[in-house]
Amino acid sequence: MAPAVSLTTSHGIPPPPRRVERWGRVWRQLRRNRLSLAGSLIVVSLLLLALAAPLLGLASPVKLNIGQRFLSPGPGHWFGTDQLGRDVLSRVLFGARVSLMASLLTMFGAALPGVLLGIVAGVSSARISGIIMRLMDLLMSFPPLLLAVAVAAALGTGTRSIIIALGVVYLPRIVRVTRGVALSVIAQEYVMAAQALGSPRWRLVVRTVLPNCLSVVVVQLSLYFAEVLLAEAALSFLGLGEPPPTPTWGNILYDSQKYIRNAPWIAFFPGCAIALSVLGLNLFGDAVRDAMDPRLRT
Amino acid sequence: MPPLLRNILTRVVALVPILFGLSIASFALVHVIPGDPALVMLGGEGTPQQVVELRKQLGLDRPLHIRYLEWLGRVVRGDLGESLYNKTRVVDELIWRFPTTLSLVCLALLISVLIGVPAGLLSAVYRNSWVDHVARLLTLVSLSLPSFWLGLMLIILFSLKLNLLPIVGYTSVVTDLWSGLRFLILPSCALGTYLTALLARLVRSSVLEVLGQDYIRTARAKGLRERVVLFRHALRNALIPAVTVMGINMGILLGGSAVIETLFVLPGVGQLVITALYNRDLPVIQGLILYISVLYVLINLVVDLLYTYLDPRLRFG
Amino acid sequence: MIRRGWMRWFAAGFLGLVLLCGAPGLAPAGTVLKIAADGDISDVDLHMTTHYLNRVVLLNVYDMLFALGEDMGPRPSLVDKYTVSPDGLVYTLTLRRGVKFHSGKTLDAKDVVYSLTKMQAKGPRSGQLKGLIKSIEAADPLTVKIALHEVNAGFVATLANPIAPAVIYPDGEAERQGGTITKPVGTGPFEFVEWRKDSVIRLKKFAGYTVDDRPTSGFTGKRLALVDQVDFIPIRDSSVRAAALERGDVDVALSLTQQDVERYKGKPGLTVAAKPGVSFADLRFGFKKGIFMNNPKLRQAVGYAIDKEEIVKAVTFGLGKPAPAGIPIGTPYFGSVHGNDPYGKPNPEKAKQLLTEAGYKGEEIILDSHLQPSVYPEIAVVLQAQFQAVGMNVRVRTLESAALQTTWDGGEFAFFLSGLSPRPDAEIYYCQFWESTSTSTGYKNAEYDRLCGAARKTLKDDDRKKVFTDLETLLRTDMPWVPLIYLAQVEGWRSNVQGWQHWSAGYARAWNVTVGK
Repeated sequence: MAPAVSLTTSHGIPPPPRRVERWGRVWRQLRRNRLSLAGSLIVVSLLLLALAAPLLGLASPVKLNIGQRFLSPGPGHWFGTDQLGRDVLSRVLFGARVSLMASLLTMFGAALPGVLLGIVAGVSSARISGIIMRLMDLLMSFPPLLLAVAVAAALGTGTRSIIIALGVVYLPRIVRVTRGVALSVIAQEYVMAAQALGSPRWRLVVRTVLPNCLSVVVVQLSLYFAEVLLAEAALSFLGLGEPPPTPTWGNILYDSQKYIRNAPWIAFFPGCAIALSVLGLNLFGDAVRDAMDPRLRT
Repeated sequence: MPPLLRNILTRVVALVPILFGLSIASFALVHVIPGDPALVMLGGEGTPQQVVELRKQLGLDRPLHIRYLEWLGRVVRGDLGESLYNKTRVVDELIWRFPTTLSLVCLALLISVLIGVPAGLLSAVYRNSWVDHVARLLTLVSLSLPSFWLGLMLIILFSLKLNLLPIVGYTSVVTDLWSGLRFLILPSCALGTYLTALLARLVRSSVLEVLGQDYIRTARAKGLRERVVLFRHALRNALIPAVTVMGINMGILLGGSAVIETLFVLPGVGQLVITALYNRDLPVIQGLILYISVLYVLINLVVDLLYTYLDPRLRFG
Repeated sequence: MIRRGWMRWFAAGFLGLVLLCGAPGLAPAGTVLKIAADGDISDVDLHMTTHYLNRVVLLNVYDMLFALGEDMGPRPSLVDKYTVSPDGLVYTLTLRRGVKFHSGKTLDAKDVVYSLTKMQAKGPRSGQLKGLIKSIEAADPLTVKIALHEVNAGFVATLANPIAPAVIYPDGEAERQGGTITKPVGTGPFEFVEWRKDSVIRLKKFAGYTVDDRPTSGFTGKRLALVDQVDFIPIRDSSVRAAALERGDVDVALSLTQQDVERYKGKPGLTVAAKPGVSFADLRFGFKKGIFMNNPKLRQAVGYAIDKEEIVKAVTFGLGKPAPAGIPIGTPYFGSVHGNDPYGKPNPEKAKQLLTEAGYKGEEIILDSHLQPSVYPEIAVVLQAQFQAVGMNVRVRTLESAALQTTWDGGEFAFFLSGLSPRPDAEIYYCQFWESTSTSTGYKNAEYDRLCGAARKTLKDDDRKKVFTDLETLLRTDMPWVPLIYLAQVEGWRSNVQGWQHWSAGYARAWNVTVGK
């Protein structure tokens, strides 16, 4: 029996079941497994809180209130206040919007060109494929930190720069995965048969390669989402994040370092938020992967 | 020539075009982005004329391709040049900082092996018991903690509140083993937590997979003691994927865990990456990129060799 | 490989000795003063670098001809006395007698000629000195004659400028050391022992130090090395620095934060003190493009929108001070006009009125700010809130340091938040970045240029005072830049340290200090 939380990447791809069947299985899997349910719950509540933040009647996350600085957590300010008197709870919730949005945009920013490039690399001639993959190898060897600083230097620090930098870092990984899937799909007998029967190439690609790639990429993305969230926080922590006064989880942590002894709560809560989100996303991602992995069909 | 040697050579040879590409890309990149080492050195205290003067003195006004070719020429001779910022030789800087990063990573690795492997093993053996559930929960949580946040929390707890561990006056383990270790405990815990969790999961799933195999049943049927079955057969085979993943992670970490080193003020390679970037210290940046890529390939090589050693099927296949 | 028996014994003995020395409490003979600085030095040749940590540490080892006095004005240090020719073009400096270098050599005029020539040849100030000095000659072993291209009343101050300071090396020292200075040889009360990167910069008492009997002031006068050894320990993180002080791992901690003052108030065993520093933050307008370029009314609106007191409270926790003028309080030439800041109190109504008169329609204006030190983004946030309150739509952009320098250098910004570290002469404060010939901001004001020229050419003190008053008045009406607040200068020292002088200029002076038990 396979472990409830699996780790290895999926291997061979048999012909894909129909779309509806697949998502139905995901749903069943999710409901069955308590951990993945917990994970999904966390993710969903996080998203809801982030979306609803402006409507919750919280204190302003950006308005200065010098008289109220460094209040420790308690009624009125459940997470305390920071060095400029702003409510930390409010900042964490508003920060969720930026951090989650940044991660989502990074994912899509990497996935769109990534899937395209990967499919092209998978179905094209060896020469084109080779060029693309060499480029991807180069990109992958490039130290991500250097790239992030370079983009921040060119475009100014901020979420946009982080999205671009991280997007570029994850692009080659997605291209690789997609290409692998594309290759294995077109090697399948039914595809070769269809081709022999005169099916136009592009239609084959769209109907067989694309759906497979998408499902695999979705699984990969759900794994990467957590990583990206952490990376965004790490880069902000180094000072490359959104300039003040906009809060992001990473830049709240960055500011908090100075005040770590007087006001450790400024560092504690955003970190918990990150940890919780990453936990939820990991669980959720594992569940999605388990559900999509045909080997585990029980 | 023996296949192993050929494999190694192929790898090394494949590295060269990548290094080439990387060095060109980084050279170009650092120039394209705004930022000038002369300006950084003057720190905003200088007039525009002084900036021009300094650029000339640093040789920064020569055309890009000339500077690149000059750099390339020196690299081939083993000279990575000098830091623009403080005139130390890049090679010296790397050599001086490497032991710190190495000791940090090794300690983190050690922690992860000492805790992660037994945890994963126990989890697998006592599957679905409370031991397993607790271990898996801890593992999951540990995988989610941002390392720099963990580092901050550890500093607050151990250094500031409990006053147990020192913060200042980092001593390299090369000079003084015991003191050096004290400064490395917290950062390696911060770094090692993720590795521990990763390893625990890997070991658990690998062991489970192996335990279901035929040859285990055979071993048991032969009457071998459970412990022998476990350690000699199950664990050994389970370690193979673990070694790969850990190797890759170690390679990445040796490139310098910039965030942890910055937080704990450790003079390692990671911190150099950040300082060099901020100073636009091009020779150092180029040197670092070379170093990171070569290291990465070397580690992969070692991992593959270990893999071959551990898996007898590969050795003789 | 230890092959022969006697080598084994030797090694064992040596090892034993080393271990013995390594044992705590037995290591250095004599008293040690441990100072925690906020980073490591990067270069030991002070002619070649403007990085301030290099000078904080090494101005204990080197001396200059003239150096900053306590009030930030230049005073003679290695110079005994000097005269200026009536036309103001030739300075005749008489050096102090019998001053010894750490190498044992006695200071003479040839060393001065060498050092100044070296500075003119290479380094961040080479262009500046080349433009100022026509010739340097050693008239006799103790007399140096310096001829200038044109009259410059701030010449002595330039020689005293601590930024890339004109320290004096022995004649030919760089060549002796293989082209680059790697081991400092100076005339200061302490001599250089070693620099272990990111670990310690060690100095020791210079036994042959020739004391200057003039009263102690700033970097000059009677400076005695009362401890045997000084260790500067780089600790980048300020909370770690403070913790090290608290635990007694170091005796003095530089560059602490305002919170540390609160935290350690009344704590026995150490003192953490703050005073408004000489360095102040300022807001500079860009004149190459952007909304402030041809709009003095808009600039004035900015001035009236700013609440300097609030910034002091918010960012320095009340430990700084509003900066009323373009030169620091207490420096020479700071007069009554300077003390009377028309923008001292915010005037939101006037600001709004001026905004309308200036034709501001709510366009977004970008405020560029340094990322480090972290006071700058904090000031930027507070400023932004203040601008918002009068209806200015300001967005803060923090660029990473090198990119920011490029922005500054290119002058392509609307307004720019930065700071000014201590400079030895009022002329440098007003003119270094704002005279049309030397500025990167694109500011061109004929009257301002004229006054700057006058500041350099006028040799009489009273006349100079008038020039600087006029400059301040012009600054306040045309507003090329706005001085904001003095940053707090916070240091801490343990009670066993006697004689530590906390200087608002921020330099660590290890002389005249003793360390008790």
